[in-house]
Amino acid sequence: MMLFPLLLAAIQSDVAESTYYKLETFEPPPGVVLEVGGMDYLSDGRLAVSTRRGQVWIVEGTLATDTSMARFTLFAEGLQEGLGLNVVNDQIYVMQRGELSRLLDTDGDGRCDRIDTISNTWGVSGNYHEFGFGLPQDKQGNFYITLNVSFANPWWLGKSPVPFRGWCLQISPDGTTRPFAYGLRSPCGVGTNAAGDLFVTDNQGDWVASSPIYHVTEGAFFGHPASLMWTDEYLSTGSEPSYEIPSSAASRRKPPAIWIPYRWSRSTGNLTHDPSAGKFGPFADQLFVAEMTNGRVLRALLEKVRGEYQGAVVPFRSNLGSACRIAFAADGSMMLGYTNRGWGGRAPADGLARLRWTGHTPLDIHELRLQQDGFEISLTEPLAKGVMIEPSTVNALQYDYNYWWEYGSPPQHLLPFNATKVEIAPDRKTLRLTFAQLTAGTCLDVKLPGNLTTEDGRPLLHREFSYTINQLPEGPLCEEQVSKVVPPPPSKDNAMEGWLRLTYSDATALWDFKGWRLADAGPTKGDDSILSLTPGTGALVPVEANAPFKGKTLLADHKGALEFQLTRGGSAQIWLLGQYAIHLTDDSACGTVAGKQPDPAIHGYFGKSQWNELSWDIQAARFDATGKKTRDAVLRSLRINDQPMLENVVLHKPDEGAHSAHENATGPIILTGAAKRCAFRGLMVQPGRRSTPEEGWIEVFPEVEFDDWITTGDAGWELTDDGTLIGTGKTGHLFSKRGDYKNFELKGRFKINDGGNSGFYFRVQPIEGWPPGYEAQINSNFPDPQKTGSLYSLAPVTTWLVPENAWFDYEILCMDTEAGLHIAITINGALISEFVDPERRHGAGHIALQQHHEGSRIEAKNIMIRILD
Amino acid sequence: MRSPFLPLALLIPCLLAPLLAQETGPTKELFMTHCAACHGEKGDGEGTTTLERPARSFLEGGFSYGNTPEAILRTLSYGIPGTPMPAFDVALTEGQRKLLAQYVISLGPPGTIVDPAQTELVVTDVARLARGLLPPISPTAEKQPRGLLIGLPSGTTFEYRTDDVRLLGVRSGRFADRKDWTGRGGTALEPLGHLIELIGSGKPKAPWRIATIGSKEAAKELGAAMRTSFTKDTVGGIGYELIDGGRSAGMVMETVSHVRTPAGSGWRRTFTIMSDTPDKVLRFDGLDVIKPSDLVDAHEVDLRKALDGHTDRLYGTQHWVVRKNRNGYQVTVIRSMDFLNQGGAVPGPRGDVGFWIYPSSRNVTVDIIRLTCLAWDDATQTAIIKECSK
Repeated sequence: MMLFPLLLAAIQSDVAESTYYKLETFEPPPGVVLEVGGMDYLSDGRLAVSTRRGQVWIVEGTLATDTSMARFTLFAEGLQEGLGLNVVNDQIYVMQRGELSRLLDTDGDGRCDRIDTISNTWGVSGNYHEFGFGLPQDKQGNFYITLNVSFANPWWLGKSPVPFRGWCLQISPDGTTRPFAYGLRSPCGVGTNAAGDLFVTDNQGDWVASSPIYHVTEGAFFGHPASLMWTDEYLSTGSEPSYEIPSSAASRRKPPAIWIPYRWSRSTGNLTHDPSAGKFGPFADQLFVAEMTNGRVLRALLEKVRGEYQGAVVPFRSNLGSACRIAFAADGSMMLGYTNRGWGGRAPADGLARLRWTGHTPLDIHELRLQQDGFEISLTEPLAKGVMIEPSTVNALQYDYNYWWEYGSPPQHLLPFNATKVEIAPDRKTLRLTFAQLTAGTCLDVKLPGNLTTEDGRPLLHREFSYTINQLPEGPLCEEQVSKVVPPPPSKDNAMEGWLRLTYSDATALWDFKGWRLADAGPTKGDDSILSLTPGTGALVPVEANAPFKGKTLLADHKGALEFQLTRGGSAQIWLLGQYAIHLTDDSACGTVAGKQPDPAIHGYFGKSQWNELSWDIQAARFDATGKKTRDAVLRSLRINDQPMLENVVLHKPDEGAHSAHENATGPIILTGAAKRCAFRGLMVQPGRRSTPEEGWIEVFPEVEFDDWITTGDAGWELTDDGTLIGTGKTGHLFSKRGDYKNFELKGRFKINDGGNSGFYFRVQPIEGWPPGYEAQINSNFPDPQKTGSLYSLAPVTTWLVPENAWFDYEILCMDTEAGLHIAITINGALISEFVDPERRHGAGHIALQQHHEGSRIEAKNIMIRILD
Repeated sequence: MRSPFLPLALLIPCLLAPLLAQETGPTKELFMTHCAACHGEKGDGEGTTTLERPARSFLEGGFSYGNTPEAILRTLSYGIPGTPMPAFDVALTEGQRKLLAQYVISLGPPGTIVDPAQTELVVTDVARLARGLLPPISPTAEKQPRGLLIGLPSGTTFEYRTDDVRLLGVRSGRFADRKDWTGRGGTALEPLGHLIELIGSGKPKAPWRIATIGSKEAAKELGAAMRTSFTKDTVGGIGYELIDGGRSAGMVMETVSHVRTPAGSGWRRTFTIMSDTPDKVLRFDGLDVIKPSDLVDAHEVDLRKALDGHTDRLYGTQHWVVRKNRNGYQVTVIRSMDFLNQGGAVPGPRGDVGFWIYPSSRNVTVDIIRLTCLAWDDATQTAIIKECSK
């Protein structure tokens, strides 16, 4: 059994890190939420801290042994965010969203009373995402700032509506400001290495495959196209760069010096070098990188290969909190500033802490040098005499990325291989790894074996590194980048087409459960084997072991996706069709289905206390008319964090413990798990196409009747060339010409805009006002609790199943039965609500479409009816 | 089930009311003497003084300028600029003002006291600055991504945008709610004061222009670049550079403060202009033009004469423009110590609320004071002259 040693290793790693680098937390004054955006020391040893909330605090005593001795004094407030701070000649400079400022206390009372504007010559449009970051200074005294692109419409594509969003600007001490480099997306970290060279971290997203570290030089373009707006080329033609098609500038992208793997960083903070000459341990002058989502600090090991920086990233210290900013104190302590601003970083989400070297040197990777056929690795400590390294135990995974507008890129062209030779130098501190072939234009994740220890038995603290091979030391220069230009993926407009969000907004309405809670969930302080629940709606968590959280929606073939989090040693199961379990466990077997384990060489699962994305594609078993199975169910694919884990797993029979004793062609999704040791959120499904009768369908709004449609109210209705009906303008309704529809099947495709509201009426009378009839509601996010899927007033659906601006299919069955009028509403092939109206309150009538209010926009097509009378 | 217990905040006024009713002998007298003429004997806003916009009825609660005892005390102490509500800091002691504040709260419905939100910024004894995205100041205006609020202890707030340094309006009441702390960055900083002055309907034109002496060309609009902002005790201010086609055309330091007189209260903007453009003249038009039909009075006041010899060290003139509006008389005073000096600032023609700055080798200081008075008579003028001569 693999599980036990793996878990033990994980526990050891946590404990081990803290024996070398101890985390100590400061306590801000009561009620103060310190969302740190910038930090630097004054010459007298006081720390200046700027916050996201626009305050600047002066902290005295950050070096005292007892952190509770630190004293916080408010120096300034009312700033428009402070996401960068630098102390120059004992004056505090703060990067605000709208300006670079110098804060002065002219009367010496300890409070800022003058704010000088050094520069504000960039655009701020008011978009929420237009952060301004900083604030290192070069030897000439120039400041460097970076400007986040805007995210508006659509939300996932960064744009630059006002000058220099997506740029790095240089600001001279007299305020002269000039554009310096561009192609940035969400460049939260700006810093310099020990040599004074400028580096910027960016955050993965559109055009940015994973989180990069850029070496910023004048005129460099890093690939995000929004910033091109403000280049001479685009300004002179007045054109806007394409947000979906790679621009011609793609070929002159300056590649990142390092791509940080997604599993190590999802929101990278700032970076800074260790100036303490050994007071912080063995990594003097090296670059450290803050990471918010996973709450850790990484090390960036850079070297110059063929004149340009490239290198590796290695883990340094985990389980810290939403580290957005790091800075070094005079005594060699690393100060940590936490912020996550609602982006879901690891707790704590705000505050100030420090990491202190305990004086013990860990056995760790010290430096890395790329060779033509491998790596030379220097270690901080010699290996024990007896240690031998078998080349086959050194695992490598080579991959590259897509350069496209999709949000991030899963690693592409995965190629696992092992070392062919490993030599340990006589000093026992240098390793030489040889591989059969290294390829420029790829990243290589390398994992060393677990048997590397010091003479006194201490294991290698971090066994993994990820090296970005932009170039090899020799041979022809590689023209290819790690992030490769690929054809654009399908337009995101259609990405949510056909999906149903079964836990969105009202997370529990479509589920039967007990022993589960809807709450915010995070690791418990001091015990990451159990979740701590606080009031909120962030996660679904079992509080009783193996209690089922069972969907009301029956599914057959479908694709599905959700996010899950496990505690240390946590476990959970997802029962597809109520019969086949995906086993989620906090180890490398995570994702096991029908006894099939994923390949441990493919890193999918990020590990405990982190949100992981899981997606699957299942085909149900088939049965003939007699109920005899004709084909087994198949799990077509299983992916964790976009990594393919399993493919085409035949599911011969329901798993033990399945919800149904008999194998069925349909079934619900059921979640189970260890109490408070797993959490779920964001469950979505895309049901497969159902086969419906082809015959007998007729058009409800035939084009030939376009000129004499029946309308009420003041809505505008138009029919486009491709047959799409569009309703806009003020309130109004459009009715079918025929008004004798009684028993029928009705179907249509619809799309409602952001904030829009509409309805698909049947058995309705064409009179002014809100017409009498049954209404299948069309509402994604308009503030009416009855959402798409509701039979209005009679069978409300409060879960926001269908996103705005996504086409969906409605199928409605309306049929008189003995018990009453039977109405069934199906969305995207899944039956969502059923209702029997014993009063039969509406008789035969028209079909109608609603335009609810000005600003709403309803699009409809293929509205067809099949009479069942 | 409904809770049988009322929240404490709702109970307090209920408890206070009978308490005050017993003890309000002297307080009610104060109210009758100082408040009832406008606010009515019962506090219902039906006073004997004729006002186009009736005075607040205390019976309905909902004070526009803040409904906490502190806020009402502030209103009593400083007056409400832009309205005929005067300052009572001279006429009444602090103790009396506190009693009056409690009294008018007790007249209102229970439960009107609202705890300030945790994110509320409060101006106490010194002025303060707040920057942020500001919501549109008027229905036709735009949101301002680079907004600046200068809040004074009087409850007066000056609302600027710093992109091109323009005053958008002046408010009175509570300062601001840092709602922009919530969410991820798109929420606006919300000014809480009541708007008492709106410049250019929320879309102010460039306040500064420049013309060449002797040239027939129309004065040209100047740009402005923010250089500094500051607070000092109860005043705040900004400094900016005037920009003429990419080149500096001078520096302006603008200080904002509260003005209170027994006749009415208001605000003051003090401009110190440093311009070294010998062949140019600067023009300031930062306030709305007054329609001639609204004009009641416009004249010059010679300060030496007006103050009858008490001001030997004073010289200079004031330019007065008075208009009637629905709140009473709005008095704008443009004042410079440099009027009599060659090369000083001179106001424009009658009724004009702008001024010209002629070339000067030294700094020129000009005040614009605006206050609202109930009456326009000699006593009012004397009170204002006194205040403006400070």
